[in-house]
Amino acid sequence: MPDGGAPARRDDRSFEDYVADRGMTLLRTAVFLTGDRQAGEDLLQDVLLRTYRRWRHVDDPDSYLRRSLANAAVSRARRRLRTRESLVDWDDPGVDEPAGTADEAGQATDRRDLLDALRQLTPRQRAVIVLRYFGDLSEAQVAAELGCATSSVKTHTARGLLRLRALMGPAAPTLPPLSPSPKGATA
Amino acid sequence: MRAPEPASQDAGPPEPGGFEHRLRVEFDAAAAGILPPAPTGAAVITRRRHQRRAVTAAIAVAAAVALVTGGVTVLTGATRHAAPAVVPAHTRPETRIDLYGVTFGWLPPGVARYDDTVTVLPPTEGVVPPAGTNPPGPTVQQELALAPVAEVDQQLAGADPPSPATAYTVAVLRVQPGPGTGLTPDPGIELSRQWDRHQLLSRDWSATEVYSPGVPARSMTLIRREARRSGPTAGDSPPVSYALYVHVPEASAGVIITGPDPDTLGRIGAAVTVGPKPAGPSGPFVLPPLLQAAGAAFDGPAGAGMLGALTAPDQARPALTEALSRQGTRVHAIRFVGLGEADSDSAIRIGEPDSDNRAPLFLSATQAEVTVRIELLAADGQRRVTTTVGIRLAVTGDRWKVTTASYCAALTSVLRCPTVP
Repeated sequence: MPDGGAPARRDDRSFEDYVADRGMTLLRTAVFLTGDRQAGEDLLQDVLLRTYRRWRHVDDPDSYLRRSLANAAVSRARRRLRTRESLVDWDDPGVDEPAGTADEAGQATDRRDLLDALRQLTPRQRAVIVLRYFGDLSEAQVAAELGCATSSVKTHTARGLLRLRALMGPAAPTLPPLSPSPKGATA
Repeated sequence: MRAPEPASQDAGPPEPGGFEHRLRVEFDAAAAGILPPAPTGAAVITRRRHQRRAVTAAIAVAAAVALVTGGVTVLTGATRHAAPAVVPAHTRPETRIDLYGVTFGWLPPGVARYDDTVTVLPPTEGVVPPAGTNPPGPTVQQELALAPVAEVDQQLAGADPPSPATAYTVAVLRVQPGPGTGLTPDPGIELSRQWDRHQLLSRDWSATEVYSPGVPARSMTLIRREARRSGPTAGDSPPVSYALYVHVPEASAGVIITGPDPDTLGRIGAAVTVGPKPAGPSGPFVLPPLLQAAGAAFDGPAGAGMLGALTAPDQARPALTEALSRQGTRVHAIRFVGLGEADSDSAIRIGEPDSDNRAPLFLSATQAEVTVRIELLAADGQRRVTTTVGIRLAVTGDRWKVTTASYCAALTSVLRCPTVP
């Protein structure tokens, strides 16, 4: 059994274990940062590849990968703007819409709405919003991850939220409960 | 600490709970809709090696994803040697299962199998085996998920996967002989290593050893896993789950059982019978039928004719038909190159240490995993690239065929298959 105070080994095996453990969370973060499943997969693959090269020197993998994903997403978006190169076929109906049940279809609609809205933000706004509201980081943590001032995070957050709210429209009305909820069991 | 709510001059009236609350809910809902496969570390390492050798890398993104199963496979770090595959689900209760040479003689009532993953793990670096034991080679692990029949049916219909609150997994680990010795090491080393991994690396739960019950002829260690409330997958995992590590001294395999109820794990573990590693067929006639099946399954010019080499052709027919209509050129460009790795310096090999890397891994007399190289047309439609994937073959009727699930996983970049049982 391991010594609880021993540092994690940084070998190929630990890299595989880490990715196995955190792969889905990383993928989701990458998809939100790019606003697209395929682009998110590509981004994550590239970032993981770079991380693997430096794996032995990475002390905090979660923070390192978050930072790398956010910065790479911003860089990619800017590069794409410069070259006017469309890397993703946004009109491809198959990108985010796997065949499925009605429930899945509804879920896909929600996802498309959010992803569509995220794609309308600037890369920096998107990164801040994703880290704040999906990664659940504080403003100070987001600032540290992105290497910018907290005031900058506040500005991007406020502008991003305003834009998202306008894009996503009002929330669906909340339906009244079918029966009185027991005490302490309200949603 | 939360960001201040922005002014909303043009975005309608304030919402109950605030827009920030709604946004978190939207993120959670959208995240739940982003389904596996996720990339694996092994696939990344493979890609890095390929880059070093100047093998075309662009398609490796898709290939890396293709190495992971479609559907809802538990992330177990699949490698290029072992694309996880979902075997045909039996939506009838299982009472006894044979898995990679181990018999599970008792199972919880009313459970069906729904997911089957094979993983090849390299030897742990820096592990010094106990005195008198042999150094380990790679470890092959086959894991099967079990859940109530109704939940398995629900998943196959395209709905949510079985709940972790009701699902169990049974896994068999067999440590391959160490290089140069040809002797099978004690799997207890690998069981300890698995425990290390849980404790050191999981952000999702904290693990504590509960007890080591005294069961005749075997040692069992029960681990209690408590989900971290702030963990990245908080809410996805049950608050408490258990893992039982079973080690039968002198046996060549170890067993890991996970699930929500410790007593059930104990009953499963007590009824485990560890047999020898499945040998599969032998002799000079082993490879040709496998080669023939793989060659027919990845024969792009045959178009829909490829379906005849699959275990469940109807499951892949809609996806292949769509792919043929939308990107027929890429489908027709699929080509089977050969068995095994393109290079021979891989540290991980399936089969015996003195065999070549084309050796199939027999999970039973009628199931085998093989590594194959296939050629694809990159997404740009210009470059032809060769990628290495693992596929599962099974005897269907009197022929070896490629399982549809592993076929779809290998061709993720071209096909969009549904969840394939």
